[in-house]
Amino acid sequence: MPKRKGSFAHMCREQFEANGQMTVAELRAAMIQAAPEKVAGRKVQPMVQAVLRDLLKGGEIVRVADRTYRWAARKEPVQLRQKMWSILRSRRVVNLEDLMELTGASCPYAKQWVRMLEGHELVRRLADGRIQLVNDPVLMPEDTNKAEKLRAIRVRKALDSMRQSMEGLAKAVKELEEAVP
Amino acid sequence: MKLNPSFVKTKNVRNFQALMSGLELAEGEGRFGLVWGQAGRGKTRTAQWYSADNNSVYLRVLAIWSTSELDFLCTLARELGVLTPPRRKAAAFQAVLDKLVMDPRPIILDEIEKLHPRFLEFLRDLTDLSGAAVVFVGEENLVDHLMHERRVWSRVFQQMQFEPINPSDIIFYAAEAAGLEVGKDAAQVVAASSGGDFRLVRRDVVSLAQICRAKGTKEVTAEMASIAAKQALRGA
Repeated sequence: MPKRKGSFAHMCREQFEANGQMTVAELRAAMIQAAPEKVAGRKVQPMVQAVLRDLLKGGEIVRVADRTYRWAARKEPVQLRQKMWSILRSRRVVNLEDLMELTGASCPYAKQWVRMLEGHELVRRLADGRIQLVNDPVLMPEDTNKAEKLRAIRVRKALDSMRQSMEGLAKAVKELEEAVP
Repeated sequence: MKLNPSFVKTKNVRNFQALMSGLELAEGEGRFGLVWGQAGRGKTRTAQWYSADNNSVYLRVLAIWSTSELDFLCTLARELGVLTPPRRKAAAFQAVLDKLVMDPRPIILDEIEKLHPRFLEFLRDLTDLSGAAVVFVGEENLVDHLMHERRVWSRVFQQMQFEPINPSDIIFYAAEAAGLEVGKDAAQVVAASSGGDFRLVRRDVVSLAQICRAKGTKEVTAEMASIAAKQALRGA
């Protein structure tokens, strides 16, 4: 389950990290106390149970007894691009096949990632097609183009959803107006 | 001819994963892991794959560090995410230690034989104070080398030897990388001709894929394997 800071799931995760082991009731009580604004006017039990299901599925918690779970301290799976970055840094000179073999990335994704690094002037292509790391900033640079694209998609989706709600509302108002003589 | 780039979890890879899991069990305690084996058995590739997959630190030891502890510490600090490591020995050591205490990621040191024995004392201090595991990867003489360092040897919690690649691994690798159906007899021929060296197995699989393509089949016989082995010898 991806970590999104401030989300209900992430706050549950923090509770487990802090307490180690918790029962469902303890987690429910802790969440009501820790995030009253998130649970106001909502049924907390199903929310907690849904998060527990996801954490259990992701191996982040383990069930130790009936309705009791323990934090398994499982780390987030390493992202594909982070794996490629790690391989590139450890080998300095790689070919696409190495990246694909050692990380499981697809060819188009590996190529796109290398292009992104070329854009940041961190790598150069050698005559035989291999890729050489020429500048190592330690931390992997962000793919700003992709981040902008994703942000635009999110905004577009939010606008569409809002537009649909407005249309639904307008339709309901119209129906009400027609119903009233 | 190119093989399909796929990382095959051979018996050695599975043993390596088991070693790393074993080290995880003693979390918080100063400990070393030891991995050794002949060149060409896939130690480095496995270590790089594991470290990328598990966010561990992989560092290939360079001979140039044999005279400079500071260079070694600075490189280790950068691998741990210190953007500008201090240029003094004690401060660099402290920077490494701080990072490891906050996030005790396993450190995998490849070609460890190149380090001067006095570096082992640094590493012992690091693992004791941070609780992060340090794994040494090297060739066969590594065991003898470390057995003389009693204080290091007593902290070796897990060890494994990279064994020659076996016929079942060859069958699986040929299927994954080239879509070939290698029979048991053929796999034994490849295993014998390669001497268990993974690089040579890869070379033989390329030859086999070419032979199979020419014959329009996917099934590899022992005879084909012998031809591939002979071709490789001619090319050597």
